[in-house]
Parts: sequence; C-alpha cells; structure tokens
Amino acid sequence: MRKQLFIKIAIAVLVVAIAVSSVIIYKKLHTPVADVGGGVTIELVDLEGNKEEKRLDFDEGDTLFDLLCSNYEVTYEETGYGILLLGIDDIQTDFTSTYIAIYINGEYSNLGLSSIILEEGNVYSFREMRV
Amino acid sequence: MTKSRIKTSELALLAMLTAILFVQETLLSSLPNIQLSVVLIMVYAATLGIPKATLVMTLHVLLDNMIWGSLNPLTACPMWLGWFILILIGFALKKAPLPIIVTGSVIGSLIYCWCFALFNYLFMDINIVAYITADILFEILMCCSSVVTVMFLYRPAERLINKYYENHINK
Repeated sequence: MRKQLFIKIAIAVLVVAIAVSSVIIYKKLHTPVADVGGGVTIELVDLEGNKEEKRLDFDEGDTLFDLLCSNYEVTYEETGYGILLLGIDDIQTDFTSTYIAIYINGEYSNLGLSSIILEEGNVYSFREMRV
Repeated sequence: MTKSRIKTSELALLAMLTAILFVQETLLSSLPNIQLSVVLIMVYAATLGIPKATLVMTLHVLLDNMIWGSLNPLTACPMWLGWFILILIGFALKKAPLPIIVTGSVIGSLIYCWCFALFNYLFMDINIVAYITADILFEILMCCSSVVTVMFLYRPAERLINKYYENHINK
C-alpha cells in the first residue's frame, strides 16, 4: 500500500516537473521578439469601419505589445493564455459583446497578441468586432 | 401511471455531478488546461454509463459555452465530441487497472485537443500543423493534469458514486 502511494507520488512529481519544464522551454522558444528592427503599419478599425493608421518603427527585441503600449492607450488583462486585449485608444471592448480581432496583412490572425512577432513591412490591423 | 425510468435521488445525483463538473472547470479556468474534468468525466462514464454520463457532459458543455460566450458550432461541437470520446474511453476502461485508465486519460486528453484542431482545419481553413504546434504546450499541460488527477482521484471518486448508488438508488 505504502509502496503504491510512493510510486504515485513519484510519478506525480515527475509529471509536474515535465509540465513546469515544458512551460519554461515553451516560453524561451516562443518569446515573440523582433529579430531585427524595422517599420510596420498599425491600423485601428472601429465597429463603424472608421480607420486610423500609423506607421511605426521598432527595434530588435521589441514585441507588438510593447509597440502598442508605447504608442497608444492600451487596456488589457493578463491571463494564463496570454494578454487579452480589451481596448486601444477609443476602441473599448468588454469581450462579451465586442472584441478586438487582429489581422496581419489583411488575414485573420490565429495567434494572440502575446504570440505575434513584429516583421518589417507588415500591416497589423486591430478591428473591433461584435461577438 | 407509467413507471419513471429515473429515480428522483438519481436525478438529484446527476444534477449535483453536473454542478461539480461545471464549477471546478470555472474555478480552474484561469489555469490553462489544468482541470479535473477528465477524471470526473471518466468516473461518470464508468459509474453512470454512457447515456447518463453523456447527459451530464452535454449540460456541462452547454453551460460552459453559454457562460463564456462561445456557444457556437466551432467551439461547442468539438468540445462535445472530445468529451464524448472520453466518455467512451472511460466506459471501455471501467474495469481496467489504474495504469491503463491513466493511459486512457492521456489519450482522451490528446483527442479532446485534436478535435478543436480538426474542426478549425475543416471549417476555418487554418494550417493544422501550425495549430497543433501552437497548442502543444496546452496539450502537455492537459495530459499532465489528467495523469495526476486520475492517479489520485479516480478510485476515491468512483467509490463515492458507487456507494451513493448502493445506499440511495439501488437499495
């Protein structure tokens, strides 16, 4: 009985160690920083389709989130899944009735703000959408 | 008057089990894929049988998606399918030794994650390899969580539900 419990605890410790190391390795491999500096276009589109566009420069090591925070008034929440973008300047969402969708060069992004890497010449469009 | 096929005490049990499943997932929602859902659904399948476990799971899926605002076919259908496959695995392994059940929980967890990848691939035209690569950490976390919870909680939870059946429903 004791031996069984010991084996279970040993396996549990091993599994937790695997989980923690996976998180650490994943974070190291997937830090979305720019390899080189450059320039990108940021678009903000509200529900009515009004568009505001800015051309911004970034340096090596910058993230899209850093770039947004240093140029706009950003509202967000940090969740276990990454950054949940709730508002940029006048576009404010509650994630229940409206949310901000991210498009890269006109294509819907399957990655969240925390995972997108800045690349020279890209157009990052933040569009307010109804749920 | 026709005889009811389900007793009130059993109905109360099913409602309570649905509540437990839903509340634990809501409480743990801030931790990515750390959950007790896998162990609970496997225990429900083993103790209640496929139809009743499916009823509990369907209610859970509906509630979960209604609360989080994701009640759409692209989220609710793969979730339901993933959990249903886990119910089948749980039922098939109900008499198996614990290490086999733990293995089943890992396979069930992976199938659950891949159901979302498959639906997104079929209906959203995404790159399935990129999706699974991006999802791999969450799959590992779900598997780890399933291993630990099934190892420690499966037998006690199974005993508890069987005891309730013996004392209140089958007596």
